[in-house]
Amino acid sequence: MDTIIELNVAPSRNSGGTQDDLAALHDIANSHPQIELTHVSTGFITLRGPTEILHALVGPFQPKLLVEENKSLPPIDSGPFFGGFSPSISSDSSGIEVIEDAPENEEDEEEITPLSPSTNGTSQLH
Amino acid sequence: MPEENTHDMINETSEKIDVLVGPRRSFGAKRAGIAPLSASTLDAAKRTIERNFGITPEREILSRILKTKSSHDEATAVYKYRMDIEQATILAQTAGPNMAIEVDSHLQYGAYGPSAMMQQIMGRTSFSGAPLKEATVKIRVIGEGDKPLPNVSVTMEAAGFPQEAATNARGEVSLKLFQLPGGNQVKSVFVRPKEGHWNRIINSPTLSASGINVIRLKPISDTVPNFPAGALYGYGQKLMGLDQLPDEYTGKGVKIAIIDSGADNAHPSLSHIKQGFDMTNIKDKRPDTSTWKDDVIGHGSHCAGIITGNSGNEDAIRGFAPEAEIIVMKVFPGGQFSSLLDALSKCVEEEVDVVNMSLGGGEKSEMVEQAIEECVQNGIACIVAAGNSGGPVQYPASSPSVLAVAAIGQLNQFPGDTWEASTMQPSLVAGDGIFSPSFTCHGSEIAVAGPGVGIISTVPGGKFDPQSGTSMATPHICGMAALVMAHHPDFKGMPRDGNRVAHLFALMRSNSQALPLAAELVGSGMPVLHGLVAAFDAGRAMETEAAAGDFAAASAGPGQAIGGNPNRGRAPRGYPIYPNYGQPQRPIYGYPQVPMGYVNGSGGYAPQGYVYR
Repeated sequence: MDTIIELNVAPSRNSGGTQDDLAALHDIANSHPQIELTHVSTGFITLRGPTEILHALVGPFQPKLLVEENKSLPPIDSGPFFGGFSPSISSDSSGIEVIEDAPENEEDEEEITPLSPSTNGTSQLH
Repeated sequence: MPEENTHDMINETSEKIDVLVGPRRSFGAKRAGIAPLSASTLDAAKRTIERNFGITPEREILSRILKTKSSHDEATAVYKYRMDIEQATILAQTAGPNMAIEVDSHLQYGAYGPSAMMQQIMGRTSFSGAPLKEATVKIRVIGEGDKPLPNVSVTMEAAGFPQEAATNARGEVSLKLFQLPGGNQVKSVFVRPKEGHWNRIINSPTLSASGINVIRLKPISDTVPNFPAGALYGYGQKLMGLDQLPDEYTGKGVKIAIIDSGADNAHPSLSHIKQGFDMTNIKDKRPDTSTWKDDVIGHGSHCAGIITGNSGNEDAIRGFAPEAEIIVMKVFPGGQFSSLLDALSKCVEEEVDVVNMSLGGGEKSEMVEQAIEECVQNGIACIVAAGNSGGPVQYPASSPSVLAVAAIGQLNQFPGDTWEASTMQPSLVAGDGIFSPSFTCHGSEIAVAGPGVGIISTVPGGKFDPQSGTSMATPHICGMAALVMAHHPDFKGMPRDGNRVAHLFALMRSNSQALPLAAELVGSGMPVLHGLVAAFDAGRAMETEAAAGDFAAASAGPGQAIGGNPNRGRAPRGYPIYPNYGQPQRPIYGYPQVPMGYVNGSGGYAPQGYVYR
C-alpha cells in the first residue's frame, strides 16, 4: 500500500509560477477521490494522499509550482537535552545529603541492590 | 576515581562484537506510539558513546536510503560500532524505546530463527556470563525552604545512555543504574526544575544506593534578591540599556508576532496580550483564535515575557515593548511547515512589523524562504534564533532575508553549578564577563548577539523560570527592534517595503556594542539602546509637532493651512524621511561594521528587498 503523505504546493517565484497555476492544480486535486485538500489559501495549498498519486498530480506543474513535503517543524531546542550536556565544570560532590529511606514510600519504590561491596550499609558509586 | 573512563575498566579479554545503533523505525514502533528518534538525539548518543567508551563508529549506513522518507529532523543514520559485549549490553539497557541497539550478525542463507538476522541485545543481561549489576538510586529534590519539588527532571549519566525521569509529588525519583564489570561511576547528575529554581549539575557525585540522596536547588531569589519583587529588568535588558530608557518608550504603535508555542496570557505579566492564532488547530480552514493561550511547552510564554512583559512596574519583568500590540502565533507542539507558512502569511495579512522566530532546524525550505521574502517586501522584519547545536547556523536563521541572532551570556548571573555555567568557555570571555556560550550556532550569517544564558522570564502558571538558548537571545533583539521601529524618526511614515527592513537591520547592527569575539560568534555585537535615546526623543518631538500641526489645521478648517506646511513633522505618504538624527549615535557603543547603503539624508538605501547582514 502506498504511503500517505502531505505536500505543500505554492507558486515558484523563481520559475514564474502564478496563482493561476496553483488554482489549476487545486481544481484537479479537488476532484480527485483519493486526494484531500487539507489547506487552501492564496499563498499555498496542502494536498494529502498516496505518494505516487500526489507526485503524478503535481509533476506536470513543476517547476512552476514549488512542491515540498509538509514535514513536522523541528522541535524547539532550548538548553540542555539528552546527552547534549557535557559537564566540564569542576567536580563537586558536595551538597548531596543522604537520608534513610522513608517507609511510607514503599508503594512506588523498587528493591535497592547494593552497588558494590559496602561498609555499614552505604554504597558508593565510585 | 572520578575521571576514569569506564572503557578502561573493561576486561581486555572481553568479547568484541559488531553493534548497530540507530533509530527504531518499524511500523510496530509507530503503532506503539513511540516517538521518532530525532537526528540531534542520535548525534548526542554518538557523542555519549565516544565519551563513555572511547570509540567512534566504524561505518555510517543507510542514511541516504532513509533520508527521503523521513520526517523533518528524524534520525536516519545507523552507525556500526565494534565494542565490548558488556558495553553493548549496557547501551541496550539504557537506550530509550526509540533507539535500536542490535548485534550486526552474519547473514545465514536459508536459516530462520533468532540467530539469522539482527539479534536483539535488548532483554539479555549479559553475553559473558557475568551479569551486569543493576541498582536503583533514589533522589529527592528540594528547593526554597527545603520544600520538595515535584515534576523536576533528573538525569543521571553513568556508563550507558543517560537515565532520565521526573520527580513525583514528594520530590522523589528513582533511576536505574547499570554497572560494568570492574566497578562503575556516576559521571553526573543533572537536575532541571520547571520553574522558580536554577538547574544544577553535580559531577562525579557520591550517591548512596541504600538511602535517599537529597539534592537542594537554589531559588531564583538567590541570584536576584527578593525576586520577583523589584526585579523589573533582567540582566540582559540592563546590558542592552532598557533600564536607562525613558519610560515613555514602550513600543506603542508597533505590531509584533511571536511564532512559537503560544503564550499564557493568564500570567499577570502577559495579561495584556489579547490576540493570537493557533496554527496547529485549524477549524473550517481557519486557525483557532483561543487555544493560542495554551502554552504546554512554556517556550513561547518565556519569549513573550522578554519582548513585552508588562507588570505595571510592580513586579518582574518588564519586557522591551510592553505597549506593543502582540499577536501570538502558535505552531508548537505539533506544527508542520504548513503551520509556519500560515503564520508568516498571517503576518502579512495583519501588517505585523516585527516577527520573533525562536525556532529552526537543519533543513531548508524554499517555500518558507519565499514566505519570508514576502514578509520583507511588506516591510516585516523577521528576527530568528541561530540555533543551539553549537554548529552551523540553522534554518531559517541562515536565510539572507532575516536577522540571525546568536546568544551571549554574562558571568555571575547564574550559580556556578548550573548547566549555564558549563557553557562558558574561558577562551571566549570578553570584557564585563560577557561570553559566547558553547551551544550557540555560529557562522557568517550571524548578524548580532543577544543575552541568552540564564534568562529569567515568564512561564505558564504565573511563574518565572531561568532558561537558556538563542531562543531567549532572539526576543531581546526583537524587543529592541520593535522599540526602534516605534520610536526612531526614520520609520515615521516610511513605506512598508524591503527598505524599511534593511534600514532596521542596519540600525540594529550599527548600534551594537562591539565584543572582542569572532564575528562568526556574535556578528556586529550586542545591540544597545544607549545611543538611540536622542533619536527617540527627536522622533517624539516630531510626533508632538505633527499633532500640533493637525490641531492647528483642524482648527483652521478644511483647506486652510496655518503656520506653514500642515505636513510638517510627518513624512509624505510613500516617501521616507531621513533626518540628520537618523544617523546612529555610534561613538560610545557601536561601530559601523555594516556596509550600509543608507546614506544620511540622501535616501540611499539598500537595493529593494535586500537585507544587509
